[in-house]
Amino acid sequence: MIVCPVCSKENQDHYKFCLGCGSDLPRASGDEAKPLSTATPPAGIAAVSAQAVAAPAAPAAAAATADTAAPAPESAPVTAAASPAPPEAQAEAAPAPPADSPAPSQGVACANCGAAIPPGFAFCGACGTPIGGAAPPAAAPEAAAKVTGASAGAGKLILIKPDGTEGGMVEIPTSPVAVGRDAGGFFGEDAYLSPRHAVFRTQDGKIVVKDEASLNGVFYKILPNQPIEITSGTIFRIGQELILFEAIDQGATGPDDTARMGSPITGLWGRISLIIGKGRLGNSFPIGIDNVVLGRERGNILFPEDGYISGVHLRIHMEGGKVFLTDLGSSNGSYIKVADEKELADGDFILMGTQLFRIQV
Amino acid sequence: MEQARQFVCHSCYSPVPSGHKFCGKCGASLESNVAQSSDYFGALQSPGRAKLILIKGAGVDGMSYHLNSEQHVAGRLDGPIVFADDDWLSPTHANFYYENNRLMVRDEDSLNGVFISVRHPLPVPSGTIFMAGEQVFRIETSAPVDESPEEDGTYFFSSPHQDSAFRVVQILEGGGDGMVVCAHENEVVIGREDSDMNFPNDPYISGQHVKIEFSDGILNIVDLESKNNTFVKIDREKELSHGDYLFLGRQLLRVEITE
Repeated sequence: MIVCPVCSKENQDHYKFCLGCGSDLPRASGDEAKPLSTATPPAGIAAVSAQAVAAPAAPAAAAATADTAAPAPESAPVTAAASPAPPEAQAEAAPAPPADSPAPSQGVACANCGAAIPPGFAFCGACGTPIGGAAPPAAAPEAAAKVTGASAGAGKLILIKPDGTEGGMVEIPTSPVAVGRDAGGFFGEDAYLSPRHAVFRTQDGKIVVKDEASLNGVFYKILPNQPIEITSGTIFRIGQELILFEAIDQGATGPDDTARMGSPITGLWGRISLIIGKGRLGNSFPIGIDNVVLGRERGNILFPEDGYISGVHLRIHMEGGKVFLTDLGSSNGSYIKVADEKELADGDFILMGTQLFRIQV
Repeated sequence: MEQARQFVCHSCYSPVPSGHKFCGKCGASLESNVAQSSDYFGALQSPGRAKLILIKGAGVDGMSYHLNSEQHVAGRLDGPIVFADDDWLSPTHANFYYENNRLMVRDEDSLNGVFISVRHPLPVPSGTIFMAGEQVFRIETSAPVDESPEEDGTYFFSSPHQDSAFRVVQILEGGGDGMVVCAHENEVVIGREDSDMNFPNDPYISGQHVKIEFSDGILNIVDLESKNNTFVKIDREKELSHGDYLFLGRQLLRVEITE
């Protein structure tokens, strides 16, 4: 229990800000279970939500929701470059990517290893050498972080600090750029970011973020009161909770046409589970009614201990055989994990590691 | 006593209401072949040593299966104790037999197993499967969540959680996992309402039906004097006592040892 020094409200030990007045709370001693907890995402989300919800214009939102499934023609080479290969590894790394490459129409050859590089790539997919041979991956964001003036950039990634102010920005150039802990700057201090976490690129004038198989992924904020279709395996975040949605597995009959016995599933169509560790699920809740509401105080599934979840926060419902997630105007928003990549529009918010960013095009 | 007056077809063992001349299931004539109200297996001389009484299931409730041979196979296809319509039963599901004059049941490597009623607090290993009402569960002990970073130094972001000694997993039809509750303060209560796992739509579950508790490193299943009992899947073989209840697939049977 932490007693707020400003308003004397009692707060739970893991709160960073007072639930009563929003003041910074002093750290309770001995509860530092995780490193770098000074900027946990819930705090960041909480602080910016008021302006965050208001700022993005509706047209941008429509664009964001309509383009969830952009094709990823060059996904294989980018993945190959995820960990820039040391020189001695080039020989074995080189042969594979060209075979997977989707026949670049006007690709260039890597100055280092000679592999073909599809247009639009900032790094060689085979050996990781930056195109042009200039800066290592880390240099790009760092350099860009200082830039504020107009340039050839397609957009900006603006860090939103826990108090809601802007904490710096990264220019997103027209060529792909990787962000992650290796990029240094404000990325370098976030232990929940993978060394190479995501790649931003421009495609048809839009910014696309691609999760580079990072440990914790990239999450985008959904707009309130707009149902977003989700599929089995979708992961989302509300408050401090990381939640997995799965469709109910009807299962197959065993050998000899014997059915696997179990609890009745009549009417059940999904379940949500709390993710409590890598590959570990905690409590799970089957969903058998058409309309399930998650909230701190009211609804079907309650999180009374999570002060970053609104009283009524999120709705999951089924309609016409499809499942939808709707943020019910929550204070801190609801975030869906980017499955592979996602087109972003001006004003969109994304979470990476423990940090919140706003996209500016 | 209506049920007790029903007959059983000698050809397919289906129940035949009294007065019918042909079996509704297989069409066999019953004229010269009318079964007695209860079927005797093996040696027909005496009603003998033990019997199983069908309490609830796809067959004729109240029907008795006398166990007068040395072995009595039960299953969906293989008899003499056959429940052809129960797809939770394997073709050969279980065997009731006598060993040193004790009645035993053996799970014949069936898909779904044989369940027996729990009378007293029962210590069980992790992985035990049990039933309460219409619900099927699995108990699992759980190791603490690994909070260490990945090799590249990245920490995993997860929901807040507390270490929990074990969790109870609802098993759904088809084999998937349903509701899961991680034990809080080393016990999980299952029931219709006001429990840790609630099943308000299950008519066969009691308000507070069964408790799983973990103490001194041991998991215990404690039936909370439920109306319909708690059933635990047997490991392989189990001695049966008078008054035991068994679930084979959807068939609920009571053991009566008369000798």
